[in-house]
Amino acid sequence: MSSETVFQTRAEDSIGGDFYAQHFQEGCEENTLVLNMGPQHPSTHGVLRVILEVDGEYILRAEPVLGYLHRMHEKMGEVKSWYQFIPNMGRVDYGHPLAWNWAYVGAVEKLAGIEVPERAEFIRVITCELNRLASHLLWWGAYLLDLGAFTPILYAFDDREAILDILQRPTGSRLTYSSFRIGGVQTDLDEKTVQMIRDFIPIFRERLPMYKALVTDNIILRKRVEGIGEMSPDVIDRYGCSGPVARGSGIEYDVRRNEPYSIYDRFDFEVPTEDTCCAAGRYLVRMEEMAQTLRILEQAVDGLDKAEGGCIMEKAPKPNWKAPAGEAWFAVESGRGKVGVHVVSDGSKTPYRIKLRSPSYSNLSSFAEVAEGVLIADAVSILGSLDLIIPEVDR
Amino acid sequence: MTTFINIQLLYLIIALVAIMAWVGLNALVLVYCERKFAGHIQRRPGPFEVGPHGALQPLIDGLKLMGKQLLTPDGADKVLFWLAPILSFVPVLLLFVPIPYGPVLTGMEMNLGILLILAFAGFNSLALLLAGWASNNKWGLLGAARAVAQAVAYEIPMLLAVLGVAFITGTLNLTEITTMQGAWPWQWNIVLQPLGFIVFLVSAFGETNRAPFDLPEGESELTAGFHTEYSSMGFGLFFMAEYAYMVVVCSVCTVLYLGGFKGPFIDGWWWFLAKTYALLFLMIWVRWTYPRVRFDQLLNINWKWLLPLATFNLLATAFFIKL
Amino acid sequence: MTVFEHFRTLCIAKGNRASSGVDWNVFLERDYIVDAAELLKYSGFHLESVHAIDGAEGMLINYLFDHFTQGERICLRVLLNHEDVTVDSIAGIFQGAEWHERETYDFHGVMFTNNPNMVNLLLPAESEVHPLVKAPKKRVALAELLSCGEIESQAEGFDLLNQKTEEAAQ
Repeated sequence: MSSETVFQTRAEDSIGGDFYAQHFQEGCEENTLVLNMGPQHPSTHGVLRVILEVDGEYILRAEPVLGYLHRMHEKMGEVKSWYQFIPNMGRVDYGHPLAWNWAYVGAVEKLAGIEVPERAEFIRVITCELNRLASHLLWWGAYLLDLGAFTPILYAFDDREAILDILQRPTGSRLTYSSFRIGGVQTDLDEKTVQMIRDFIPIFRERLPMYKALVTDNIILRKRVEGIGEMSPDVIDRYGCSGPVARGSGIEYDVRRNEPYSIYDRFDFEVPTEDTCCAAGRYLVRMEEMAQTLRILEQAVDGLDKAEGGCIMEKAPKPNWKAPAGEAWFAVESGRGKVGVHVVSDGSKTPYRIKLRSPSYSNLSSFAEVAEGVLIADAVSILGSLDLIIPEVDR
Repeated sequence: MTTFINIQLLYLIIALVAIMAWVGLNALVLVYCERKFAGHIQRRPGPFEVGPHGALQPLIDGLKLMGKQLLTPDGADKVLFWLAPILSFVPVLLLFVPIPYGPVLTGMEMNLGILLILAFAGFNSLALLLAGWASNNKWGLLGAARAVAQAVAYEIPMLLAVLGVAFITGTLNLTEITTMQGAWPWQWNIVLQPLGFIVFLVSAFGETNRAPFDLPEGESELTAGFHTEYSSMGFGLFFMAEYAYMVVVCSVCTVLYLGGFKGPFIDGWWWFLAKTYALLFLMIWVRWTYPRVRFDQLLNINWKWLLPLATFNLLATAFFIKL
Repeated sequence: MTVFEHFRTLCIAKGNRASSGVDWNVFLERDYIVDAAELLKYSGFHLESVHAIDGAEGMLINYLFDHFTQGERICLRVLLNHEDVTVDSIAGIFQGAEWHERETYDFHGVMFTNNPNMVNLLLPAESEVHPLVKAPKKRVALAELLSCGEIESQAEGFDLLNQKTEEAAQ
């Protein structure tokens, strides 16, 4: 079926630029500047391109253009076997890859009715929460770099080094982890790793007040985030935003609490929510989430010793395993929001259809509406507060 | 008569050559200090490999910059494009002439020294505007627009703060202003003009485009702002000019408020350098600590806070002098 | 299920959340999708995803909705004939659907009429390739693929899921 392109490129293009720039400029007003923010830009967090129609410094219209990092993971899912697709999940989101690992593996396990041993669940929780901490630190450092503070990113990376060293031991990687397996995890946590985690928690807990005093309470930063990027709960509903973006607008929804998976219902932790609906709310939610993650980590590490089972189920699926026919949807809370994987199987070696639902995709789709009428500097602040990871948006 | 003129002229020429050397040396030293200091604030060592503790790094960076290809972007106005960095850098040399480094170390003692400095510092905004405009780059244009608005805005409180000192001392001659202050800290002008000092310092950050007011080159928003399209020595000249302006502004602040070359026990250029470098240190420290202000907030700070404060300072000074 | 009680549906099936992750599977005729979306918006649901599955009987479009407080996940399903892969866009109600629909157009060639910006989202702008459309020989019957759960109500003539139960009974 031909696409019968609804929009045709102009015959004589008096306007320069590629298809998207021309298509965008068709709706432009008089005397406005059309700017391309990206795909090479220091603060679009990856290869995101946003075409802006600007009047002075005020944005009249914004349109994100995606696809610069599109690798068609969903097609790869139909071509690779069930086992082979796990490393793909490590590359979808480099900030919190273990959440994507979990979403895929969890969906397959749901489909096949596989039960994961308790110890494996604990290991999954521990590694995933450490990853969440690393993801939030990366967000924090990068956000402040966008706002012009050059130092916090290095402090954040200093702390991330400790986490990456810990996670390197069971997973073998520093950034794009693929350590989850269908039925458990790849390697067990040995004594040294557990001890490293136990040592890390109090050290990091001491850092958080320093970050608050240095950065969060700074008047210049507060003026850059308070009142910026108002997203009412209606916007959240219409675009399907989730995670800290939704929680920063007063919606108390966390997949770990509302749709508990694995052993999250055993842990005592709070879901931080802010009512301000602006970038400051999202900022504070993520800072508080870091503290709550430490609580979960402590409880998980304490419970690890008494957990039964091994790090992977007995008779774990071999690489040439076939899932039974059917479909399953599994959702996980990543640092950015609700990650969903819909797996459809026809009983053969490869999946029939895999749909990856990414939180940054939904969060970013609200940008066009939220950024109307703001200054360019505020647009940068809004993008940073949405915590986007572009590989996750493009897949 | 002719011999008299010749000596003056000779003195001036020597001073200018010395200033050029001083500016060059300062560029190297300040770049090194900035990178080292930034490194230590960020919990890392900074330049370390090139030379002992990275001391030769700025020199090698300068050589690297000189060796790069000079690119002119397509569609840029060639004359204006290459005029801009030169226009930014050359007037700076003139700004050092009236500044008294020591009791006899002045390029040329002028009765209107401060006026000369403020007047020629205005060239910078013109240079930034030319740079952004001639680049044929929308981001450069935005950076240039911001630079002009910012430079023009922050000149006014600076002027008013300087007027406050002029009222007290009755002269615009920098050497006289220095000699009228005493050797000890409580005898410096900062005691008489504390508000003026703060206003001047904040305006200094605004005039030199230093963080938290570094929007014209707001790296994370505008790529590199007005100097996006410059490479090699074009960028190098802007860079050196920025550091030179920083030194000028800190030197002037030292002379006006901190007693210049006067200090406890023995007056001399060492005190001058110590105070100037302390202020430069402060500028570097602030840059690596605070995030950037938004552009409308920056102008707000100027028009709603600095300008009223500076005016109030001036009126209060006038009032107390009358008493 | 109360939301679609008085709505004209083709089939409502109660899914098993533990095994398939979805609480309700609702099959609709193509013309009713916009009204159904409006109904769900009014009931406070938010849009999770819009995607397509290419099956032997046709192209199945899935609309996943979730609720922040009630914790109910509903999957609206619209089956389109392979010759006429067109459906109305719900982007007027859920603006987030604009991107999901563009992506579905990209991957499966499904045309959503009234979508405000029907241009390729992820693939290159002028590309006409729809990568996830399967070759006709490779398509599998949807009855085998779907796990809709227990059928609560079914319209006359709707036998998409019955084939599976017949086979299972055999």
